[in-house]
Amino acid sequence: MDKRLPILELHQIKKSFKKTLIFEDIDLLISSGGSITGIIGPNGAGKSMLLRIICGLIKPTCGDVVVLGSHVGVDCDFPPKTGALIDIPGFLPAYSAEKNLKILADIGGKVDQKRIDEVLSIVGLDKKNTQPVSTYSVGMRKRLGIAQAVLEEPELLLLDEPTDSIDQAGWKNVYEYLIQLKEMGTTILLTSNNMDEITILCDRTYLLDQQHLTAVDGD
Amino acid sequence: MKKMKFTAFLKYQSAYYFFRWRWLLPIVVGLSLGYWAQNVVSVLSMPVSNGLQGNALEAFIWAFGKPEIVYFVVSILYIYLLSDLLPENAYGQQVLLRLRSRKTWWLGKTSFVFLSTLVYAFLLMGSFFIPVLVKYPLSGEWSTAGLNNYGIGLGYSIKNGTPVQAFWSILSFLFVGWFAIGLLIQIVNLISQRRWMGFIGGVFLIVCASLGDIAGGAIGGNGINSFFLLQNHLEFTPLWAPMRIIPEIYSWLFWAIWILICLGLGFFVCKKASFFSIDRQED
Repeated sequence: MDKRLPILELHQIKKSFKKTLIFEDIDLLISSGGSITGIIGPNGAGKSMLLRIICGLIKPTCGDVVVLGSHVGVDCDFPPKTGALIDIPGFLPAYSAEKNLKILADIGGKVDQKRIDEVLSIVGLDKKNTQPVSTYSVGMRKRLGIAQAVLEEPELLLLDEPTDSIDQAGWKNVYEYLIQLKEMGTTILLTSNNMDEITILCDRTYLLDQQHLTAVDGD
Repeated sequence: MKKMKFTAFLKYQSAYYFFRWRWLLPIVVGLSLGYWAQNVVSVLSMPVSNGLQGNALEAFIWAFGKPEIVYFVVSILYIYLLSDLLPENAYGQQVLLRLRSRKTWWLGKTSFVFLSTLVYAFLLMGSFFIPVLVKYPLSGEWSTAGLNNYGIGLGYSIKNGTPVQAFWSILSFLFVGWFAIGLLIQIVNLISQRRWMGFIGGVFLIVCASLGDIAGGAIGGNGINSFFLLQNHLEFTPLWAPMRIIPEIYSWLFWAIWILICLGLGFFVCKKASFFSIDRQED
């Protein structure tokens, strides 16, 4: 039995819009200390919605989200020490990648220029590139989205299809970095439609389908 | 730390929203209105004046006191510029996660609406005065043409004070009215999760106010109903028609109540609001 402290607990999460049920009875317990958990499921199953609920961006119809002991929506509006990349990453298109991260760093108030440079280098973006993000390819934008999520060295990292739109050569870098983060103690929850990705990266996998979350590997 | 986050948030909002082509529109509109107003003042004052041919403040009072311009030009432009602040896009949601508080976020948005209103008024009215000041001086006295009711027709303002007093009254009522409408637009967008809903709602409000003006004739209406009509408060109505009857203090009260309700409602709505995926690439 895993005796590490839980970093993420989902208790009986349900989400519905008017009469449409998205999912219900979602229970999940992820311990701290470094692991990668994957959620797979068909398009429209609610994977991104579930990540948004964990982030505090969307309120669940009922149920409880607890991150590092804080009840999201009760003790805090947004979970502590959590980074996220959900759906399409967003930017200030007229600014460079470095400036985009700098603005977020200033608002967060936790990281310095050295960390910004480090993160850009990790995701394979040139810190000297002053081109505006509007000129970036989809893959480059995705890399910058990952950089935004990991900027503040979160303990819990939520990634929605992290390698979607990134070319195959780029996958390897992202995989290596995620494994490195795991080894350094970061707990990662990611969604993916790529079974190879799930096999390579994840310690545990869950299937979100038919409004329910079930363990795939008998966890 | 909270103050630093708040300042950084306002800087981000300014960088994102002000540095876009659309924020040149107030300058274009201001210049055009200024050119038009100085021409109107010059044509109207010609047959009646022997001395001073109008002054820059009279041109301002004429233009920004004219209901058609207030409703269908400058207020609609303001609504257009402010109508896409919400709901938050993906980058805005990253910012929200870093602010770590919905209350701080709403306070930041409210402050930014206030800042935007200041910037809008400055750009619009600043550029208005460029062509006007080329032709007329700034003067604290009514001109001969202005004093003649059949000339520029600034009857109400002349009866109730100096051009400087009329200028500040017009400016402050428009400013506070725009700010209040801007707040309402944000709430509509937040509840509906659609940018165009705030725009449509704002335009609807303005059109209704304008229709009220036409139906009501002399501004003020009758009895208590007059207090609840937007058109009695947004414009200072310094000209002969429509004429302001309602005391100015009532207008301040009207806007104070409006703003307080919007602030309270905004705090309530932002606590409950969901932030969905919204993809947007700016011009």
